[in-house]
Amino acid sequence: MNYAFHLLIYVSVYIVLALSLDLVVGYLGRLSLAHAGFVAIGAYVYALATLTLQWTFVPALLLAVAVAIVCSLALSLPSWRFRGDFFIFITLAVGALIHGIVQNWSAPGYEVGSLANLTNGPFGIAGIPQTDIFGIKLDTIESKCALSLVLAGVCASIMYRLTHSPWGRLLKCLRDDELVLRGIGKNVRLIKLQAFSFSCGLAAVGGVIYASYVSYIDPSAASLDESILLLCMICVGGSGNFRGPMVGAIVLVLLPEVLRFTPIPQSVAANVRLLVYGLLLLVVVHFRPQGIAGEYRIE
Amino acid sequence: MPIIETMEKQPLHTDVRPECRLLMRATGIAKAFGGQPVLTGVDLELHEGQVVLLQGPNGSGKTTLLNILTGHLVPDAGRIDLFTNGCREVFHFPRHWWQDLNPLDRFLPERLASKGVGRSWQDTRLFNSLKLLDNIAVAKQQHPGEKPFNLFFHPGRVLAMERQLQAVCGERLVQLGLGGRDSSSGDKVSLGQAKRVAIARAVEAGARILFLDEPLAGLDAPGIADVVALLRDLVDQHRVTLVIIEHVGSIVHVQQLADTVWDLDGGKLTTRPNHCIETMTKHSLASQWRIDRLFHEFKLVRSEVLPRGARLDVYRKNGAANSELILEVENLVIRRNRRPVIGWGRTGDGAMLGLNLTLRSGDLAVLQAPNGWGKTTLMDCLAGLLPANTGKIKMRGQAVTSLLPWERSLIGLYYLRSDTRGFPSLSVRNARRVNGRRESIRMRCSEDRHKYGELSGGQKRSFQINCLGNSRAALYILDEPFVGLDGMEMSSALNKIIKLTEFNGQCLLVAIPHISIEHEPC
Repeated sequence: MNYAFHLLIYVSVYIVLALSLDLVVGYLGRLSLAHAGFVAIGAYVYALATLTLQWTFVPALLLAVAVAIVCSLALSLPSWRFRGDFFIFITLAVGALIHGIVQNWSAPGYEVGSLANLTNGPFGIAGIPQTDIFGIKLDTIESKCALSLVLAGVCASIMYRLTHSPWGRLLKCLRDDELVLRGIGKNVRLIKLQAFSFSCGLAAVGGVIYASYVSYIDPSAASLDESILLLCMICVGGSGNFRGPMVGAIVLVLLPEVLRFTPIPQSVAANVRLLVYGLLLLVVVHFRPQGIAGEYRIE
Repeated sequence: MPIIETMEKQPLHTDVRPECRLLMRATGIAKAFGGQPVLTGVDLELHEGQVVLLQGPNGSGKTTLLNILTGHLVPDAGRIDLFTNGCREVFHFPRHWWQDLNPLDRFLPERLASKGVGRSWQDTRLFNSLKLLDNIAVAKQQHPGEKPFNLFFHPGRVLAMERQLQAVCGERLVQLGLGGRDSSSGDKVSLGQAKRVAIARAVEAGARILFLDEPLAGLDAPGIADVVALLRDLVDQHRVTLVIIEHVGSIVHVQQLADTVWDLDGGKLTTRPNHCIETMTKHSLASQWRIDRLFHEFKLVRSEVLPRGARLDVYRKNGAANSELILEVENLVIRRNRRPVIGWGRTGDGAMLGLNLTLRSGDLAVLQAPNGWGKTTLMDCLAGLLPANTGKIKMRGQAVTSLLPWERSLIGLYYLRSDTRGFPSLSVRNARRVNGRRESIRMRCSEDRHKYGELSGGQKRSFQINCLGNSRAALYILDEPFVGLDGMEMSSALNKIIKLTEFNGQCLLVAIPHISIEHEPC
């Protein structure tokens, strides 16, 4: 039973991440390879706030989101000028930068969370305290699962409200034809700033749920592999609408779990998993370029 | 819509009216591209309710001037005064670098647009993933729902505004004659419909001055009537100032509206009142499309009436021998999203009736069809860019239905699309070589050094027409080859196309918008 709760938490975390990435990729039409970096920013800020400052869950969550939004300027300012392949390179650089900082901000002999050893380098931060919301300790897996589902629901409804609104309509226009949108008097720079803030802020929420559940965070959360996994979810599930990223997140989280029950020896299972990922991506991209349930075709 | 009545109303033959409010004044506008001056000191004034026809030869900088006045291009020198929102706003050029640091004082299209300077594009550029209704609704200025804060904290206001907007835009669509189509997406309507929606979008954005880049190009007669009626309504009811760039083909329709003419030539602009409708009509497409009247060696051999208002005229040279079958199309049905585009009615057993067409070598076939009939779809399908749902296409007896576009071109098909797409980063000379043209001294021209992408719309088009002659194809398919060409260019293009039929074993299929021959305005 615990296993099912565990899966449910993972699915809800990845739904939040895929939805938030879709705001940039599917609606704004800008491919981002730095998304995992913002997940890690959320997770690390939460970990440090609860460990070293002894903050409870809600203020730590808000701090994580605020820091991620400020950091999202690293993506949204270049997006004013760049698009297409060059913008992807910039996101790659931003992702590598975040990963590099998280991986290297450490010094032996100093306490974790001190200025000299902020992230504890490759060892990561362990022992994140139990989730504590206004004095209520969530120490069972059921309660943690409920918390992550509630948060995922809140994030999803924020996303729904944003994308099914005049503001979401502007995003789609920006994706279709930026010049025309400027020609009818819309401030495209502000729209890009807002879109990246929401996307990165929600990614940080996903990171916080993850960190509070696992109670351990290490630099691999900010790696390029993780960003590509998120992008895969959007490619496979579909982008530019609400259900596509959800389908992608569910498929790509549950697929390795299904493989776990097949009689494949553990030693080759990891390779088989990669093989299946690649095959799935190829098949979907070839036969349904807009993804299983998507609307927009990533270019 | 009382189109005919409005069409026949007397034109506004008035001079620039001094009592009308001045909206824009530009002085000394200059612009050069890569050292080559395009505009050298252009002065102009625009008053409220004025309708201006901007004309000039291909490549004279009409679109450049339009881009400058709408903020899409920064001029090298000059000054623009804007009076649209009551107070005066001045832009001096060249601008100092520190002026651009102030985010509120930049010369950008969005800034001019919010001050009431709108434009439409040569290709309509609707937002393809949006419904038609939303295409207009998105242009609403100061919509509370465009601020994420309001979405969460004032949902009532957003909802009320959105409801009101949907109603207004739905009404607008009905006025445009697009009543039932409000949920179609931008890429699924015909050119004439798209142009009307694009103009309505610019008006919804609050345009007081509207710059229109070839609003009538590529339209059929009813489409022209609709757009002209819409423009007249904008001028009469809403006092919108219009600046229209138009080419010879449909210039008469604009001259009915215009009260001022701007002639742009050699980088200078001269203004004159539009007193008379000129005698340019003899150049107009309407009279040109009777090939047998223009070229006496041709005669009309057959004329087929196709369903939904289209007509196929096949001309042959006098005395041409009965010759090889080049193109056979049998019962062709093309659907897009299950909606049949080519294909009509049903026979007794429920099957679709498709298009039948045969062309022999030496034939010059002219397909005249209204906008939205599916000309481009048909051409794309013949060229292999779109799949056919049922039916057969044969070229020289060989079935090509399952062949890829490049395989068809190896058999001898040449397709000229209606857009002027090319390889923008190639120089004109190299682009000509890619098109298989052998170099000869006669052919070099002053544009050789330039890149293809830097040519103006009309220049691109005449370049493409010039490249036609060298490829020895058996079947030429030309989709609206005359859009954007001026008088001289147009007749030279027509001669080029007629020449193509001189070689043995070639035939042509030309598609143009439907312009009824009876309709000759003067």
